[in-house]
Amino acid sequence: MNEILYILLAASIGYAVAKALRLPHVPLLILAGGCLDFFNVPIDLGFARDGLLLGLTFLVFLSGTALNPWRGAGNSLALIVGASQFFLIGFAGLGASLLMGFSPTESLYVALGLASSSTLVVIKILQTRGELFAPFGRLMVGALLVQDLLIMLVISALSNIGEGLVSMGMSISLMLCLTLLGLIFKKWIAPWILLSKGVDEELQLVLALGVLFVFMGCANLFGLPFLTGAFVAGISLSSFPVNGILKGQLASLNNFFSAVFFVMLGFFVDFPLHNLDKVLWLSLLVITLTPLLSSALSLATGMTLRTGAELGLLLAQTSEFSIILALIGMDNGDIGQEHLSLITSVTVVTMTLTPFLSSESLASALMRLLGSFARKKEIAKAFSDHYVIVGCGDSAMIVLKKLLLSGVDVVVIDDDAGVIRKVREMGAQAILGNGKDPEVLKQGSLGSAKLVISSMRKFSDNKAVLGYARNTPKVIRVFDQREADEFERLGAISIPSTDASTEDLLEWIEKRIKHQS
Amino acid sequence: MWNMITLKTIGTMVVCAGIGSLFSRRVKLPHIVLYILTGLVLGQLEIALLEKDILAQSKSSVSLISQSGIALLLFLVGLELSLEKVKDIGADALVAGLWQVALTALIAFGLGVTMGFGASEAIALGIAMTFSSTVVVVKLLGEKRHLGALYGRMSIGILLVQDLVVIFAFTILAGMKGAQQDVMSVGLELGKAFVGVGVLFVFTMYVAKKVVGPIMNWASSSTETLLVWSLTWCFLIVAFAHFLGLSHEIGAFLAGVSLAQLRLSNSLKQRVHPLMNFFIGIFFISLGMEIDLGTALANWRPALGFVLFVLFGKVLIFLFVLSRRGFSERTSFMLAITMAQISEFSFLFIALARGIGWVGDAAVAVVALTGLVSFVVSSFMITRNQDIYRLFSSKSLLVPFQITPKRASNEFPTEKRGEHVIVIGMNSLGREICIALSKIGQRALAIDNDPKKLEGLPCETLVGNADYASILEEASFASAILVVTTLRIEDVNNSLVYRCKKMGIPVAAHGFDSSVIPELKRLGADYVIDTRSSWLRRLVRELEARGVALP
Repeated sequence: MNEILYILLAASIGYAVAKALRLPHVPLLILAGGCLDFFNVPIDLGFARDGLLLGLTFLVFLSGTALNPWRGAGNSLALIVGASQFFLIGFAGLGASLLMGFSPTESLYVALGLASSSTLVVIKILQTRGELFAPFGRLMVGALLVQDLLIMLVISALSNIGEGLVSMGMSISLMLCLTLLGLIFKKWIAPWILLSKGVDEELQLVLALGVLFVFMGCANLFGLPFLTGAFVAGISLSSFPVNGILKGQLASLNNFFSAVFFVMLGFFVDFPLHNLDKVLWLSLLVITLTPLLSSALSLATGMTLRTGAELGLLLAQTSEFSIILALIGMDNGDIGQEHLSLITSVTVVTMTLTPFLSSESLASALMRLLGSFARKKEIAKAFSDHYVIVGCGDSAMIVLKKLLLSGVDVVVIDDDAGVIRKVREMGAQAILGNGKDPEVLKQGSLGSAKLVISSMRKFSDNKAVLGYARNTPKVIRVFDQREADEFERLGAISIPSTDASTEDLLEWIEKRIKHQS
Repeated sequence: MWNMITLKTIGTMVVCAGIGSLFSRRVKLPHIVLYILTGLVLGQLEIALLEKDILAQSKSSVSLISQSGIALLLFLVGLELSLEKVKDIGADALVAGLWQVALTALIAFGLGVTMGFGASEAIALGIAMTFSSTVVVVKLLGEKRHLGALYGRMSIGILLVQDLVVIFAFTILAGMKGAQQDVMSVGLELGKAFVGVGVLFVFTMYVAKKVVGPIMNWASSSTETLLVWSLTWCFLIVAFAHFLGLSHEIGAFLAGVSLAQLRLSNSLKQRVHPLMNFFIGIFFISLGMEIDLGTALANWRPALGFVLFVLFGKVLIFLFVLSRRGFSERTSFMLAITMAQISEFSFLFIALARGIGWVGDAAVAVVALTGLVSFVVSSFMITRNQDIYRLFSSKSLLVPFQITPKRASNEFPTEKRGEHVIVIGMNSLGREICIALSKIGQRALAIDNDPKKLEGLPCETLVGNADYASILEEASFASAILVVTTLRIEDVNNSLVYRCKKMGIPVAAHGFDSSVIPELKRLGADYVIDTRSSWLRRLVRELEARGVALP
């Protein structure tokens, strides 16, 4: 069992460094695997290959279970974002690869490797931020789903790349048939076998894994790569409540096997020190083009600028599927170890940079840069007896609607050009700028307002508003009692949302108890 | 590049087990039986995918997975049994275990001679019959959630004593192989084993407390990190045990016991469990595949004798031994029928004995068939042990043993909770709700997977993850008056509402975004915590109270 111990030890170190440096774990696991190879740790190659294959299978399967196609359905924006990035970055990657001297087939693999973003990394960051199920998170997951589906179609087509376009088209058709089978299974069969009486947690796991291998068998029967079967099997188990019931069971397998996969990948891949310039150029292409593309899309599609900027920065990395594609390319004999190493290295670099790129300050900087293109010269106007909203998120938007319905003058201050555009469409006055900037606050005439409502994210930003509008009644939205006490002390009316919700819940509980007694 | 053989082998095993489970769910076949029968069928059919030469190629990886499954199973047992739970049964387990081993070996030896085996073969058979299966017992008691019961803890204690005897038996075998069978060397090896257990125990407990615990707490918010670290700890101690000449099982068990002292142990159990289920399933299916049914059936007569001995004789021996230790009739009986099978070590022992020419093929076949039948029958017996006890007790069949309990003991840990509100997710909203409930005198149970978030709360707390159904039992969902989830995770909230409604428990869920509220209502949430609406209502009220009216 020493092999398992070595892999787990490497993974543990990878996770520890990731935790300490607040980096995604994937690149560090790959590097930890590279260290195993570097130090000649004795791992049986047969077992290492089996571990890589099992890890790969589970990784693709579990990616499928997390992506419910209906979650992205109806979200045309997700389709536009996902597909635009895939094709535009793909084309840019193709051009760059050809310029670097790769053959057309090799360039195609490298380009496709650059075209999609990492579901694992993005979902983890969204989870950490608590945004996975917010509208922004849904948009991201929808875009990733589109890219994953495109990659799967590409994998099917590439399995017959040497046999002409008709064969490739046939493979894509078969892949679509397999997906249809998966959707039928998902709708009618999965709930029947997994949720029926007498099937406990352990049998649910056995059955779910049985589904995985049956679909892999089907893919084999159709002449498709086995991983397409694993992906469709995942999708066939992605509907609620089946996915909810299986989530915990599969999460443990996912954590273990993805660790094994990435460590073993690092063990097998030779890092291309001689091709470092290519790695850097391709990484640069991904991390600069993706945010610019998303921001341009935000201007064209009516998204807020913040959404566009954050989206682009968060998607600026290559995917674990890029590595899988490269592995398949190697297995087909289309590309060599050099290309696998190149794609893996670009993935390591871009994934490592993602937490830094997706920081709020960088998003704000990008937003300011793009906002300056969209901003027209504001004409200073004096307001009085008006209501001011500083920071117009979802909650403040509800307040804004109420105020506008009652026919009073409202001035909104926000740093998002998209929000400002929306507010103006609703008929309110709007000032584009940062709510903690005294110049911007001055334009809002806070001193002569009837009421100022500040609902910005940061405590310090809200405090700046407080300092500026000393003699005007102010309401600050906060999330906990500690912040509320501080603002009350400074003279604001401060209502913690948790406090209000708890009060309502307890009232309901008491009513319920009374009703029962 | 790809070598699909291992994947195909595992795939075939899993698909066949899945198909088997679909057919067997109405008869509630114990999982172990399902896996062994699946393996037996696969082994006999020689399905094209699993032809012997192909199997041989995938054997090393599959065998590694199987071994890992056993290690994880024992690791989980250790996590379940903290020192607090086992310290009161140590002496009883040691004495009862040694008596049982001696009596079983002696009688089985006599039976072997009676069945026509030579004295030397009968000794080997006698030794093989003494051990009970840690894997079967632990798996089934775990499924019944009886590992914490007195008979469950005693079972683990006796199995650990048997593990030490296994070391003794293998030491003798090794001595015979190397023709160094002097008493001194055997005694020395045994002494080293005992010292090794002591060293391993002290080392794991010390390092877990001083090093592993603080590191785990540091990473408590990262679930995958915790899982990988705990598995690393398990395999590290297994390797250390191996280095000390001890079994993997003892290493894995002590690794688990050392982590059981941590607050995170409950969360770790939940996470390791699915992985163990997968790995151990592969182990049992492989076991079934390896049984050569043809040779085994040719020796059915002596095998039948040993099967009856293991299923009934061993039970009587245990009842006799335990009745002298002052346990109640119920504990003695349930413990006795729990141990009515032979062990996976028995297979290994007899195979090694065959390797050095100590026994012939007939003895190997007898052990194989005895193992197969005793695994299957005892699985049913353990699954239905309470019904069997009631039957025996009502017919006064246990009276001849004159079992009179000499001590007061808590045979089954009793349910402590009831009429409580379960609050899942200790973000600021969850904490606020717990504090408010405590202020009005309502009993609350706070659950979060991060122990740090549970600190300083004025109510009972539980470390765990709502993704796992086992949390429902741990938190005594059935006796709760309300479940509140404040998580900002749509899938988990929806699943909790779904599960609560299935169990008929009122549930309040966090509608943290307007897009998630319709689904929560559709699933039947009794109350949706709509933070924005609550905030707005409160805003209007507060402003009016302070003379600042909204238009």
